Amino acid sequence: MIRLDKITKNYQPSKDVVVQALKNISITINSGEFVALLGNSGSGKSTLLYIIGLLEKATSGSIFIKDKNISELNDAQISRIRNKTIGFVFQQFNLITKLTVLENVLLPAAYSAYGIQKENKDYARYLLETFGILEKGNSFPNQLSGGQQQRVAIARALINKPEVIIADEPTGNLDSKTGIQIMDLIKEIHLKEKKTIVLVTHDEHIARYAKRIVRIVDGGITT
Amino acid sequence: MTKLGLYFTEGINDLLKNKGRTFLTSLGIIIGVYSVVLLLSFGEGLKLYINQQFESLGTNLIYILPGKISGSSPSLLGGKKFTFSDYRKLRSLLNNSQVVPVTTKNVSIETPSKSESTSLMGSTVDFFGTRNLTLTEGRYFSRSDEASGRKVAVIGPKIAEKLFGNQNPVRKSVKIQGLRFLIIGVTEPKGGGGLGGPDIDNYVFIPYKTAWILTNDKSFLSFYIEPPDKESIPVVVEKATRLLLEKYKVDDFSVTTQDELIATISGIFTVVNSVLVGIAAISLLVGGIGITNIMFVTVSERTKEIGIRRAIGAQENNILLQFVTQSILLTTLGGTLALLLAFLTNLVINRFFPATITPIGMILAFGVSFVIGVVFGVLPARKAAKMTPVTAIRYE
Repeated sequence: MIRLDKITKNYQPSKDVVVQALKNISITINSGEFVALLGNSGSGKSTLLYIIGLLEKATSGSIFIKDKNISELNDAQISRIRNKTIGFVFQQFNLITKLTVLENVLLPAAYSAYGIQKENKDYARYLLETFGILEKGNSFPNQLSGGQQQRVAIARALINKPEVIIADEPTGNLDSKTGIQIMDLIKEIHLKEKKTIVLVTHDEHIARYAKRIVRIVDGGITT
Repeated sequence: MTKLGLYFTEGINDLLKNKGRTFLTSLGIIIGVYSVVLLLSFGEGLKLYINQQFESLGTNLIYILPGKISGSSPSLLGGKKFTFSDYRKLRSLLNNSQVVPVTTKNVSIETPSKSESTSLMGSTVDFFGTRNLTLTEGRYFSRSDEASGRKVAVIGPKIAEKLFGNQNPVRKSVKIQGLRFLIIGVTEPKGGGGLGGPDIDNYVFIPYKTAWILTNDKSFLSFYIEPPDKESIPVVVEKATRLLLEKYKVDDFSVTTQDELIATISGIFTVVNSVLVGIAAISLLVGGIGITNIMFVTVSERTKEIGIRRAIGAQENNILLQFVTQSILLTTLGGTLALLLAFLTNLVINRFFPATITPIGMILAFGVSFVIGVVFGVLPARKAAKMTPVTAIRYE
């Protein structure tokens, strides 16, 4: 499903300083897998996740998604993969505050080739209902609790029925009880919907939800 | 919902959310479009007004004037004056047309109690016919008045009122440059006297032979020729020109038609109007820069949102178009408001002056607002579109 080949990522915060965030990383994530990238803050795990999620470009190396070499694609093609194949869940929820819950969930569909269709609306309602927040459909994100907001974000990640869900510390802004509920939900999605899940966390307990744990230390993988 | 619908509704919502900012930003465009549209409507009204003025003074007229009036450097100065023999020759050559000689002079006209300065027109009785001038009081001067140079005068209604108030001036006498004249008629009011038209209501008309006594000079300033119909205008112009060329140089006189004269005068006003419109357009530029400015602010405020949109699949183009749409909405909103204001202003102005907003003016107002929206919105929108998604999404 996803294959990284000798990925490095360098940052240059000032003229004479180069920070190597990722060093020669190669990893393959198979279809239907649940992988946790575990590491301390500054380990480079989030950078790795953003490269996998096509939000950031690697300094060198190649990334293949469904055997397609991403480095050969232009912005429109990469955006289309983000839209169709990948769903994002963030630590900060990252909902758009001026849009209602339903509009937030439907936004990825708006950017798809066909725009928002009736099936999308039905599916959005189905997801909200399944997550127990259908009655919040016309509310705005700031009227929701953290757990509810993260559920909206997960619904948004699922709306275009992507094959991969990428979650960046999805419980980081939640209390532990709500965090467990969200992780249970993600696990359920993995099992029922057969989604490939790539999760980033610094928390060993959270990482244990995954079938495979990849430890990231100083920009490299240790097993 | 299509993407365009998305840009549109989100753009509108965003503008409505910041009503104060929206209004202040579009104020530059409002002022710019308003002044351009209004000035264009003035120009259009001016042309209409000039045409009306000339038409009320007789149609299809040919003018023979001293000097050169058409060409690159029009000038009414330095030309020759025409003689009585020119008049006789023109009249016998153009026997199908009315040939009316005119001599003018600025004079003072006095009653025992009042004195006014005015323009004197010495001509034949045919003058009144060719210029559509009828009388409200008294009579025209006769052929025998003309032939014997009798001191009789037909006066315009404006000068009549100035000198005599509400009294009927006919059969009263006035002094023009010390000579006693009998007033025999008053012309109907023609209006005019503003821009582009002679103040014919203020004129004093006397037989040309009588006028010669006052001018000390047996000459004419100009001729009006009324051909039998519109079709014969070119022939008459040609004939008259050829005749005058036997005696005068080509730069000494002009044979021009009413249409040409209107075109010349309109041309001058068009140039003046274009300059004014150009100056007003500068405010549009300033307004446009204001749009760019505020759009940069908007983009920077919405950096995180842009990052989120990119993460869930928005392409660079989607982001670009979203912000350009918002900028276009902002400017066309301003343009529409400006047009509305211009219409309202026109309603008021129309009581005094026939200013008209033409369809071209309206299309121009919309077109210009739209183009300003695109041109001045594209730079901030490009900045938004070119953000790296991950940098944008981490922006706080």
